[in-house]
Amino acid sequence: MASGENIIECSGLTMSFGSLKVLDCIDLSIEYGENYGLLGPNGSGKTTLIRILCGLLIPNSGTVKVLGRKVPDHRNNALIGYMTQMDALYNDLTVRENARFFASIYGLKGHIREKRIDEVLEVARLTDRQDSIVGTLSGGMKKRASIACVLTHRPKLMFMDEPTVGVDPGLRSEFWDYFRELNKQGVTLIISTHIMDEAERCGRLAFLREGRKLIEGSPQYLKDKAGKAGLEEAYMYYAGGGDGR
Amino acid sequence: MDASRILSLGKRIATQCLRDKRTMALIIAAPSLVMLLLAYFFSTSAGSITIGVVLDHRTGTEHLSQLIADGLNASDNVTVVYLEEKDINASLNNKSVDGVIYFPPNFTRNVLDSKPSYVKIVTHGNNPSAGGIIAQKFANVSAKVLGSRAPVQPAASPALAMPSVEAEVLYGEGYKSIDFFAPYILGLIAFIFVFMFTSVTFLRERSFGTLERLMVSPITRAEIIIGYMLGFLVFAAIQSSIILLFAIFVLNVKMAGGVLAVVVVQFLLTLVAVNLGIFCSSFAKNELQAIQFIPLVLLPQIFLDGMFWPVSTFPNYLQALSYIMPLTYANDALQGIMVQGVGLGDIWVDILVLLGFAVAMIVLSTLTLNKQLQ
Repeated sequence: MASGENIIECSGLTMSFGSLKVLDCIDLSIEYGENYGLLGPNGSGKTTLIRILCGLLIPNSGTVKVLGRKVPDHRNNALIGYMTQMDALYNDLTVRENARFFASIYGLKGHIREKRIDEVLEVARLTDRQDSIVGTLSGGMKKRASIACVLTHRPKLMFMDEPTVGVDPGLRSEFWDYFRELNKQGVTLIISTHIMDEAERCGRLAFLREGRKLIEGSPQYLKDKAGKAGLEEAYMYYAGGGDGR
Repeated sequence: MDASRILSLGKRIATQCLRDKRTMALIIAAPSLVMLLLAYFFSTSAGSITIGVVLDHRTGTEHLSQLIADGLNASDNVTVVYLEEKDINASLNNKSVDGVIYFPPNFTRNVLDSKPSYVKIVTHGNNPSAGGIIAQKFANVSAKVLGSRAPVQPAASPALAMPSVEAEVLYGEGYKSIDFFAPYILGLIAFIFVFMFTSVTFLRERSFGTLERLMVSPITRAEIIIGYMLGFLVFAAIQSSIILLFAIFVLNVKMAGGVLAVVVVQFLLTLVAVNLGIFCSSFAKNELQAIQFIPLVLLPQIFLDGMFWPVSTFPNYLQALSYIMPLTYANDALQGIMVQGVGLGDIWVDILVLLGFAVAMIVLSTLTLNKQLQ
């Protein structure tokens, strides 16, 4: 999977908002095609890290390279997909109009665009609701529409900030099948989550606590290091301070 | 710069605006209602005003027109200057007076003889409220002056009869007050609605997370701004056309100049309003706060743009304020076009200033886009 250079490479990444230090000297190397999970309690800096990697925030210090370019670099945008915690949809437009708008922003046109939209709506199980105004959808359906909108341009690198919150377990499992499918096609996934069975499906995990990377490795490695049988217990162990750092 | 991205964004904005049926009904009904009201209601409010007076041909103690002029001069917020009849138009045109009270040559004679008498109040078309203010002042003062004097023939009524007042507006055979208000309303409404819609739409863009989604996409900041302007230009064009048609065909408002010139002014005004909206929304944390900017930005402009009181009647510091407001120039231009029928060449100063406002606001809104995400 690895193709020489890493898709994400950062060292000494530090970010503060005023006097509040959100990220503290983070080193991160993620290979092309990885399925990488970010764990950590609320406020541990996961979202800020993702926003920096997307080029939305400029870090105070440290070097950050994404797709071989020092961020922020506008050229990366066409290759990145970012699903925020918010649904980030236009409530007064229909599902299809939302998808069409975002697809157009990525330069998709005409027949190809409509075909892609059909595909992602199929994945999100929204084909029969595509002409509904988003504001009238349930929370879970909005989430599905939101995922659909981030998939139309087939990003190479996808950031997903708690992507399946509010999605029922059956559909969540389908989503993960699709994520795995994307992963097989070579799409790199960076996923932040609080759901342990999602974390379990990641190739590697990083545990963030108070802006520091506490530990990194496979789910099994995290469990072993914590001396716990389940990831849930391991999570509690690290959230409580972990190996005492 | 990618045209199709900009078009997509512009189309999305226009769709969002036009889809909301209730809002669409309101943006057309509200201005129409305001114009209807103004067509019947003519504001007479106090402001400092300069009245030119043309006296009649009589001198001496019983010189009634002189007494009235003295009375006017002594009343609050009024300055009287004396004119010759031939100077009336020139004085009004160069705005050295807000209006003129013309006493016909035999005014005093007729009043003292209890014959029918009249005075003429002449105002300029670009100063619609002056006529009402002057008429009111004149009525107060002349009632005081004439009421205190007995007529020469004691058989008649105990006090002198009031002269009738004829109003005359320069550029104005058959002009109604709404003819002068309509251009103001046209500019004001376009500005209010576009500003309001932009600031709320953009705030939503931010608070719903879609701005973030745009920022990680290939669309550039400049394209976002241009797309927004495009979308709201469509919106403003539709709204302005409907208001204009309503004014011309339902209220029979005069349209002396060319429609194209009106379009140019409305176009520039919309650009200013969109970017002002984006700029202001960056200082608001939620929709309620965004709404607070509406009175802050709009009320001073409504009062100071010359709609209700002529700018020249303001104290200096308010005049200075008035001259940094885009609506002042838009209104001056629209007045010129619709009432006086001038072309773009005659209002190039207004156009240039509006263009300057637009460019400055585009720069400011682009700069604040960076701030919007923090």
